[in-house]
Amino acid sequence: MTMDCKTYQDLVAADVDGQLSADEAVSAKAHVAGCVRCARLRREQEGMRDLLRERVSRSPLPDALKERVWDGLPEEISAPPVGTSTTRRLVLAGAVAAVLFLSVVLPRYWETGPDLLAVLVRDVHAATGDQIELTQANQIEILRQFYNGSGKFSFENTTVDLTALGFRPIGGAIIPIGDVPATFTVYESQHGKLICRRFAVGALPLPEGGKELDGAQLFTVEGITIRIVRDGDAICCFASDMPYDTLMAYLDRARHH
Amino acid sequence: MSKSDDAKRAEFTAVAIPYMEQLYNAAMHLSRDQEAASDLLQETYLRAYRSWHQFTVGTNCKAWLLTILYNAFRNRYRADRSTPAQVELDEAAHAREVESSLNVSVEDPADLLAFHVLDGEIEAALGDLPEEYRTAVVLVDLQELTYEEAAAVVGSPVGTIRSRLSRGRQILHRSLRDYAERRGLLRRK
Repeated sequence: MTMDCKTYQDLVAADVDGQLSADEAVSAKAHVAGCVRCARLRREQEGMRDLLRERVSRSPLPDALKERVWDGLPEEISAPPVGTSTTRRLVLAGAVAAVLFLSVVLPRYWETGPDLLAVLVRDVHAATGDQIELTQANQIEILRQFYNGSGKFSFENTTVDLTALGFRPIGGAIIPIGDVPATFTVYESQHGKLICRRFAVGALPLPEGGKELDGAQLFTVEGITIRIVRDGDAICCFASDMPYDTLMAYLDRARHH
Repeated sequence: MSKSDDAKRAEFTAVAIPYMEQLYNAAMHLSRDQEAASDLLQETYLRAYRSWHQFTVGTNCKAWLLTILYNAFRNRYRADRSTPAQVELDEAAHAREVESSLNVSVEDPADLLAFHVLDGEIEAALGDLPEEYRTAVVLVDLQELTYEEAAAVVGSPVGTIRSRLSRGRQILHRSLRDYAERRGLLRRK
């Protein structure tokens, strides 16, 4: 993709900070190589960033303020809202009329923190074992609830429509990952079930490692295939116990749909 | 079994308290007022302490604290008349800004450092930035958050952070260039 000066001016900070996508970086580099003004703009941005980091003073925290902050803390840390953590997640489901019942095993997920891969593996087992009662079959509707409720990204984000590929949406809901609001959708095909999780970019640390493929990160954990990809201002995770090649063929078709 | 309050207090002390000075500096740069920064810091830590059960140890505590701080700042000080009016440069104005900055007879923009700008001038220029750009610069350049973390703090898409950071740095560059011109260190073409 070719880039013009106007586009580059909005991206110059990300270029300096190495925060462009691979495609954007290639286009930016090509543009800067051929544009004296934007090349200079880039040098200015880099210089300004370095100047800020080197020269903006760090004010020491006054001891009296530190004591004042500490003394202002109550004796006890407040207890979580009344009810189990499962009940809190039910409250988060908002206007969804049907009560969402989660496996009694679920509260134990959170003792060690929301390890995203572990969450996705357990989601697949729960969905496959029919341990989750889902209320909505329409992902657009789930995203709309999410957006109007607690979500931070627009439901107008790309929505992968798997129905055209032979997947039938069984249902979904808004089920947090730890304390991070996230949507949860289950699809079923002749080959097995596929779950999809979405949450806002930056809301959770993403797992490291994995195999990079077409801009996504692939993992295999306990026989579950997981694909994590950034979709605008959302992170989208697909996970399934379908055979790896079968799942990749489906997701590849979805990507080009 | 939930942790005892003593254990939670100890955990909060070990995990959250060490960021207090960084949070104070962020509060100073956002509010541009020492008293306001002190109030913001106290409010932030009180809220963090009360909602500590919502934080997952092992995730980015600084980003979590900065989110609380930023929300407190927005709620308490955004309507304050002492903050400059919000200026969202339109595309044409931004283009003129960039064009203007490129018409300075500086051999190399890195010579910005050679402008001998004073530290006070940098602080002043930062304080004069419109709040949205100042926030992006504070979170990314000074607090060293990633673009995704900064986007999560302010509740905006990453693309918004990218463009605000670009524009914020550009405005700062022009401001400091103007300081240097007034002191006779630079000449316009």
